[in-house]
Amino acid sequence: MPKKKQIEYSRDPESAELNHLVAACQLSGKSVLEIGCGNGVLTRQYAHLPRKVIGIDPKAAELQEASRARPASQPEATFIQAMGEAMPFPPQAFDLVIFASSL
Amino acid sequence: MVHALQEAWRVLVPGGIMIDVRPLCVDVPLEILTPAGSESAGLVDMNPEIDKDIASDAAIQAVIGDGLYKMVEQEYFDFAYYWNSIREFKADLDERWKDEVILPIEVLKRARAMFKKHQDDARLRIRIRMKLAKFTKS
Repeated sequence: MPKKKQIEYSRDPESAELNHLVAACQLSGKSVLEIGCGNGVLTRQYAHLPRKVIGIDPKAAELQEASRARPASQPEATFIQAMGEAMPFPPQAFDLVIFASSL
Repeated sequence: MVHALQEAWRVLVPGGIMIDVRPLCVDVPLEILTPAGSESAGLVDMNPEIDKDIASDAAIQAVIGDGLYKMVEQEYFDFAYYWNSIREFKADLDERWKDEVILPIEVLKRARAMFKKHQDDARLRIRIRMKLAKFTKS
């Protein structure tokens, strides 16, 4: 079967979303949870800054892509299949929670 | 949505920060970029999911009303997507954005005509209006 052609597009090359996120909150040394991380396209941009990053999403295929695309330099980023309405984390586990186009 | 915000509150440390960043349902121009500048082919309808947007705002208001969060600040910015051809743009819209965007046929026709004039040098751009709101856990 021929491989499906990848659609080429450029998403936020100006890094506007990242810049506004970084300006709004101090990420350095923090424990971050991103709800609705999808394929991790935003997560990868800031994952080197906090102490720990966990991205959750209900879609397994998106999470596989997120894990595959994660650079080796970002071992602090973890991706877990979960819903925002029932998260498998103890109380008070994170300094920062991000709803990235997922609310 | 309220349940997710309550869960976020549960897993946040006292005084922790919650960020809600998402696109606004406002129409935006489909721009043709050339070395000479940019020109609009017309507006792209970003409203199909406006009910979801309104529900998200209502959920935020509900949890603020319940005393779970306090708003610290809110700001707006543009978030751009670029494509190198009409074909890539249309394929992307059909694959990833079909429930979120309506592209009027006359806008697509105009974009095709404008793009044809600058074939090798042109790109397409949509700048989505985004909202970033910051809250603290009460």
